[in-house]
Amino acid sequence: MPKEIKSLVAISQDILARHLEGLDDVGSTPYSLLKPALRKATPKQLFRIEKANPHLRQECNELWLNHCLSYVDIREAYHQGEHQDPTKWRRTYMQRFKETERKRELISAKVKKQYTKIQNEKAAKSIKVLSGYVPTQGRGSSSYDNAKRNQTSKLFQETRRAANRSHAMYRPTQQRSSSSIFVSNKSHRSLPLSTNIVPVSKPTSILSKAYNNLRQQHLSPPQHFISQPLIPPPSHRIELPERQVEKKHNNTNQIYMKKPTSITTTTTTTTTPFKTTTLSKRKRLESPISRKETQSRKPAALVNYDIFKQLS
Amino acid sequence: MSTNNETPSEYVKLISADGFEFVIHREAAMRSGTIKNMLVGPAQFKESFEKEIPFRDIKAVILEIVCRYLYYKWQYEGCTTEIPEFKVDPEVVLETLMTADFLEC
Repeated sequence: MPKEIKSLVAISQDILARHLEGLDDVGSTPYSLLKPALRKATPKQLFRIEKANPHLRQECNELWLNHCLSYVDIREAYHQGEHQDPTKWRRTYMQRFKETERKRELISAKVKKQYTKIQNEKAAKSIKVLSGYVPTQGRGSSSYDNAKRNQTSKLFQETRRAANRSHAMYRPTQQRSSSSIFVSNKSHRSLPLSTNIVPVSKPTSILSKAYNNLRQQHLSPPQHFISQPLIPPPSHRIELPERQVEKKHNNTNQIYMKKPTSITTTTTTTTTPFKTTTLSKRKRLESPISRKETQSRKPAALVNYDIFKQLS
Repeated sequence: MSTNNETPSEYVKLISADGFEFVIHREAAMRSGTIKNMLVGPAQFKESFEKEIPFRDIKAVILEIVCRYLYYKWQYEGCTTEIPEFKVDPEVVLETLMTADFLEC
């Protein structure tokens, strides 16, 4: 079947329709020739061409109908009989177009606003890397201590304090010094001894005095609480004057005044008494020790209760 | 498309407004409705006798395109195979449109 060759007119119109963007002044070209091409023009193009060719404006009215009908609501109105005036079609379209534009802008502004809001919130909540030091409220370790203190119950703290106090006198100074940082914040009244630096013993508390008196009276050595031997073996001489929690003493009130620096003793025998609690053993031990003490020239390590009395 | 005139019956000459002469086959020229009328019509027209048709309003550029189209049409009419597209330069398409409309081709 031989195909019909397209007329040059038709070919030209097709090419024109494809290149409407570049169309400006049509010169003397009649509307009839331009119509097939203009029907394919977008509203924007049509508006521009009308502007360039005002004499075509009247004839282009019909072209605006199609553009108006692209809006569903107008199309329905048209089918019901409205929008019959061709001259108004252009205006109708323009109004509708501007309305749509305005609505779109509002929506986009709204969305943008919400987006930036969310972005700001995110930025505020995000974890930022800081350079340098962030100032803390307390200083170093004390803040940890304080935090620890605040967390433990008051009752527990009080109990601990009381226990510390009662056990403090049995503990040698060295031990106490290590815990003094923590304990020192609390009251000092129960600690009878001085710090680790100064060997001189401080005035004793009432409690410790009472304790010592009782001990003197009953001559019962404290057995459970002593962690170290009261009198070190003769091989070891301890320079530090430890307060020797002494075992017995004498109902005879034999008090041995010794220099605090040197501590030597009849040690071996003295260690044993701590293990035994019976009176008989005590008596047995008493005599050898006292004898040895009297015999030895070296000073014995004894607690001189008089010192406490003197210093108080 | 030479400017020289040869066999009078077989060729016709189309003369543009700016003096260019296009000699084309009579058969090709017949594909244009207007030219056909000029050539075939009553002998009162000078053109039908002389076989020269001057066009005082058509530029040579456009006339050349028209002649090209006339040959294109003469070549491919009745052809069943694939026909290539006839291309026109967009710059002159408006004038071509008007001329084509005038020449009825």
